[in-house]
Amino acid sequence: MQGRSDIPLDDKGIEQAMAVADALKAGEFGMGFDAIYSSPLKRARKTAEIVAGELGEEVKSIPELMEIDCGMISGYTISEAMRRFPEMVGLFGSGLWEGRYPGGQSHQQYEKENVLPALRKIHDLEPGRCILAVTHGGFIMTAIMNFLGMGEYRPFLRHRLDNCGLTTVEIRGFDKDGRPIGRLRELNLVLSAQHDHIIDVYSKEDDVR
Amino acid sequence: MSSGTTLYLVRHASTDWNDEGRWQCLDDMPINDKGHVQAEAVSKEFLRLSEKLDFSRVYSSPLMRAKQTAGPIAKKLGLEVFVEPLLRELDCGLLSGLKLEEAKSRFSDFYSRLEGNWLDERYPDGETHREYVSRCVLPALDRIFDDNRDRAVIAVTHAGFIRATIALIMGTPAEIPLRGLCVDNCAYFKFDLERTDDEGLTGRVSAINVTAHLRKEGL
Repeated sequence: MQGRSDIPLDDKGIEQAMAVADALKAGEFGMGFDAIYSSPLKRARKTAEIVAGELGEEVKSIPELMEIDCGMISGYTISEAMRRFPEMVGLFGSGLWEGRYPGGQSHQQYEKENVLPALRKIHDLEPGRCILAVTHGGFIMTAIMNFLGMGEYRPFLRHRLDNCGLTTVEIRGFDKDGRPIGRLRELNLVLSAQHDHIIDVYSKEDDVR
Repeated sequence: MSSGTTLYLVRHASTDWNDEGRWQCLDDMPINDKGHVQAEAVSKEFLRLSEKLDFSRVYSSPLMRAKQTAGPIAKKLGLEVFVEPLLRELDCGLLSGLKLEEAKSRFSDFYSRLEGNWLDERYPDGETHREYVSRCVLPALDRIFDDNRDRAVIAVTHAGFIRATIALIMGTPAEIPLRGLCVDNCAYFKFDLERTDDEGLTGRVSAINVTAHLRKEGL
């Protein structure tokens, strides 16, 4: 778990970002962007800068695109965290939404304080445009909950999000509670297998983040 | 030791009825010209994926639009299309052939009941979503999993089947229809499946509605 600890990209991460930048430039994903935004954390910012550099864009920062604050869990693997903080066990199951990370946020709080304001800000700043936002696993998971059409339900979703995977949502507006109205268009579009050596090895533990 | 299966679900290519926004279900419409181009694009995508993945089988729903989509994929991979009846679409009964607005006005009572009872409301002369999942979706996934342990496998099917599989594997409540989830013609969805201790299926959704191969072709 990293949360808000500001760990920079490692060499593999830089290579992944460069590979995605190349693929975007070469049209491999069939998408282009009108603007690029990023979380202020180094791992996101650097990814955004590498992509923006390749595409000839600037990176604009939105603080709300930051990862969830997982408090004292930061730096531990999930299984270590569960041993050390017994209250975490429920949090990685049905208690995901309301449960607060020791010394940090709950997902519910994170949705309200970060995810919904970030989506609103991007929508208001860039109406009708196609935007790349470089952010974090917790943000994307929380965001897609709002686009599946699940209303108030916040189950523990079992899905994968790779580093540098692209997820596309379509925002048409917002309801009276500030929740986006729109659709989930694509989840976890990844680099082709020719980049195998830098593609993530995914373990069961990555079910939780 | 648990053994896993990588399942790619592909929604069939476009038909005229899709493009006109008509319910289709078990009516057996062929794919149209645009559909043939989409099917070619998705077949090239699987040929590319096959450079790293050894696909064991290409399954298809028995409906023509699925078989016509599976054909080019299987051919590119040097495989036969394996028709699996359980991969069919939901039976929406009398709605089939109607445009959404026509269906809503002709069967307004059904639609208002469906709103609060999505899983158990019966389509006029058709089946319920719950019946469809237990008759088709669960046994199809079981069979495909068991016949392709530790392999990668492709199944060409329908939006209803794909939505039900997403709900099941991703863990969203079965009574919620996931209306915000896009399921485009010739998009693919990827699942990493494994058995639970009590012989159920679990796993993880590793990609939803991938359409880059279509966008690249301007589709």
